[in-house]
Amino acid sequence: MENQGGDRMNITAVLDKTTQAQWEIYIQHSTRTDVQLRGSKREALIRQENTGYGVRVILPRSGGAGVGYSSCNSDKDLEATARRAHDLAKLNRSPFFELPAKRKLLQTKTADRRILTDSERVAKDYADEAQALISEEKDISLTYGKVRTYVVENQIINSRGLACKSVGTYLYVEMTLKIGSGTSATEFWPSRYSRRVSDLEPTNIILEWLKIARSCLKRHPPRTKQTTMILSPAVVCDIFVPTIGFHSSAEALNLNLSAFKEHQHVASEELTIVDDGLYPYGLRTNSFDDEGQPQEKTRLIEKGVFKNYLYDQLHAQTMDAKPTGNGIRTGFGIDVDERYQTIPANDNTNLTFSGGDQSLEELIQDTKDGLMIYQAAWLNPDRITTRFGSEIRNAQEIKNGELVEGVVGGSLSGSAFELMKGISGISDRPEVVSGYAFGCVAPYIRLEGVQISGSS
Amino acid sequence: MVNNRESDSVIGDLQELLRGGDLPYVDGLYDWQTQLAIRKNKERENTSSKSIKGVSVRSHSESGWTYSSSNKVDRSTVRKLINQLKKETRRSNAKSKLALPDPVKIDTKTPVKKDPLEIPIEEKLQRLREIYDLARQMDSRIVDVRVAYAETVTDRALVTSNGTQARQLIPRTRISMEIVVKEDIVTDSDNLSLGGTVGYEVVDDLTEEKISELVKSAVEQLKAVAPPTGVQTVILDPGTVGTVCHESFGHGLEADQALRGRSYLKDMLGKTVASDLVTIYEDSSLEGANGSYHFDDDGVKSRKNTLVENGVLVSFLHDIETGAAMNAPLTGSSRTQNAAHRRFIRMSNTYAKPGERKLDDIVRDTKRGVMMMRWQFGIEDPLGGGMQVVSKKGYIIENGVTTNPLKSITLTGRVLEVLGNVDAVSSDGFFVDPGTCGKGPEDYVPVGSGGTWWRTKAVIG
Repeated sequence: MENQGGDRMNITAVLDKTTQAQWEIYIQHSTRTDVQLRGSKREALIRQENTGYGVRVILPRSGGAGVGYSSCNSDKDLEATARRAHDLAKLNRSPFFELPAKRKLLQTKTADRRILTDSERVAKDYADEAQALISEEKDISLTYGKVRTYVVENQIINSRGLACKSVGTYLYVEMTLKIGSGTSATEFWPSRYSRRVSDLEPTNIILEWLKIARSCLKRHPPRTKQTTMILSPAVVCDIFVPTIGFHSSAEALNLNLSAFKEHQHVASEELTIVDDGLYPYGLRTNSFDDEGQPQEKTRLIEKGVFKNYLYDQLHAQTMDAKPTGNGIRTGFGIDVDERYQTIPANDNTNLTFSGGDQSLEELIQDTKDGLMIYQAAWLNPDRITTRFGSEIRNAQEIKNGELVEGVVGGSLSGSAFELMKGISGISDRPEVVSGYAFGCVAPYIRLEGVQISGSS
Repeated sequence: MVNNRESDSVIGDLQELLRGGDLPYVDGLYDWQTQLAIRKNKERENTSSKSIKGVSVRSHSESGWTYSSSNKVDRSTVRKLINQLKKETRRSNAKSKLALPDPVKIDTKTPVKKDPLEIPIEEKLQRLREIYDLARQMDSRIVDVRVAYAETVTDRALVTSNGTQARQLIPRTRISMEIVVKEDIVTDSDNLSLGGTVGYEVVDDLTEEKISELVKSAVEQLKAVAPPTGVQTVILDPGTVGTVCHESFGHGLEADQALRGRSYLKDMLGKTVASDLVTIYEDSSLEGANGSYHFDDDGVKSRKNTLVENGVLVSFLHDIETGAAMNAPLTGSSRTQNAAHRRFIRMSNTYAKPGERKLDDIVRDTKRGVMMMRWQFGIEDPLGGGMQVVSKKGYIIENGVTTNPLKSITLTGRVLEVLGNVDAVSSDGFFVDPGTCGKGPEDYVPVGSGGTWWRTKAVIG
């Protein structure tokens, strides 16, 4: 199966003949360049080319769905994978739903010309520039780093005549910055994805990371207390994307697990969130979702009131609702170029937080006593209960409106949905951000009464 | 277990193409992972089948490692990858220093009691339906039961320019279950996962008794409260102990971090780093455990390494690069997720040696504290020397008795303090849990972690 040129007729013929049922094929072709750094040297250069696909077969009466994933690109293998998916579908019991038909798609911005033109050059140049910037620091050094570029082509074809294709780029940057020296050293270990280089220009993001690292040169562990806290966009992403994403899903509603009800107050009035699948250069932006349904903007929370659920194909049809383009291929440990190995799930695209009317500086000036949390170790909240607890890796104390000494150690804990009710400020410039969670455009958010556990 | 004609052909191609080069060292890794996965919950059933292949070749020079990989495994692609690598490594015109093991020729597979491939898929799906139905009727507050089964076979071969030709077939089978309960507006859950380098027999281990305990535990969570915060005396269950070992002296002892200047343990070999009750092993040869293999991805035979012995730091974990740089014996710790990923120093099965006291005796002897159970995840802090481990549930301990149930407990603290504070280790309850480990936020490999019960002091939140 040579899909790079889109040999659609052959794929369609093979799948029609093999399955004699509803089918869908999701194909990814990608190139990846990974530059890994050790101090001022290069530790590894990794080049990878990857093509793979997932075939889903849905049977008309039982609704049984079978899935086959493969990285082998021949007609023979496609036939075997489709037959296997068909055999598996015959065993299952699931609600029947129709795959999307062809629809008009909106244009979206998902690719950076610089990465498309020479992705390896971009990764190497970025790595060189980051190393040069960090080497100018006196008390901060680079121990390890990764700079990775991706060019990913996604294609969906189904038995209802749908055929859509998109190309996206990604830049991933991860740096471990050693703060201080000797036995008292600690580190700041940030990472972030973007669609384009300009969102992560070294002269912006690396210098910002260095500033945070510097703030932890002098540091102390926290005391046990409840306090005011300003969360960085990456921390906002990790606490709220898995929890709001799950509870906004039609799946959670269908399973009687959603804590949200339409028109219910779920957060402070400052909070407005849209699931925006079309956000320019958002990490989950695309014209179509991973089932081929057009992505769109769905209002989730408006001034603290929950508005709408997010639907994929299965839930839209079984719950008699309109699909919102939220059939997303994702999974634990699955990178952006490995999504063909997953089945579409009912998930968010880009949870896009509206900015507030204060700048970050004003938010800080307006805080008498609190903590600025730049990074927690791994928040990973329980998506059902929304509870979380995580070590504070890099934070800074706020005293009388000023950032003062660094805070490292102890933990912050709580429930994401309780925190949403205690929002007291939102910064004015949301940014495309990622943490362990993916798909978020977030500002800095100030919260009241967050529990800190410390040494005393 | 799987058709090996293609594997043999790729190995043959790699052997021939790597031969006679004028490079210091080149190797090729072929990886083929096949998987059957079945999931069932209230909404639907899903079955999927996966077959992902890849080949990766790498060389080492003074300018570091260079990898080229593709999931096309035909001869012309392999030739292209190797030629590209040779061209680049020649251009760098530099020598490398690696601690290469003696070349080996191995072709082996992990035996299992019940080969999953001999059991019809219908039977597996039926078993999951039975488990689902059984759990579902155990309590009226159950709103969903999620049962997942996965059988994976990794067919991996390593061919090196100095003559190693090693192939291993490793099956991993896993069954996991989550019970979700709801009462009024409170929703909670509990979960359980069983598995390892074993066969279908693991499904028999998910007994009615275990399912019933899980249901009771999930229901108990509906009344559970947040744990007390701050420094507490804490008793950790075997899985949580294993995770503490993994995050503290597992990641902290990966020697690639030491070469980067990223390990707080770099200069502590031979020094006391924990209570003398603490002995920690790292064992890639542990039969049936999730992280076990026959040889690592540098071609070094699997083995049992002692990391900490009676509180004294004994060994780092090494690959062929760090072994040479630090003049240390190889520990068989080079691993990759698959051919699309880089090889790093990784753990396999990390566990603590049992002690001499009984758990009941340790609890009885605890005036006030917290019991932490059912670990969920943890993360390392290789330079800062901190760690985080999160568990699903636990109990308050008062005057030697476990009392009120607790939910979502986070343990943090300085590794040297938390492990220095260990004052009791149980002889009973030894268990090694299956898990998955990332090198930072990516590059996941299967691991095991375990031990027996410990008592220590740490920050709880």
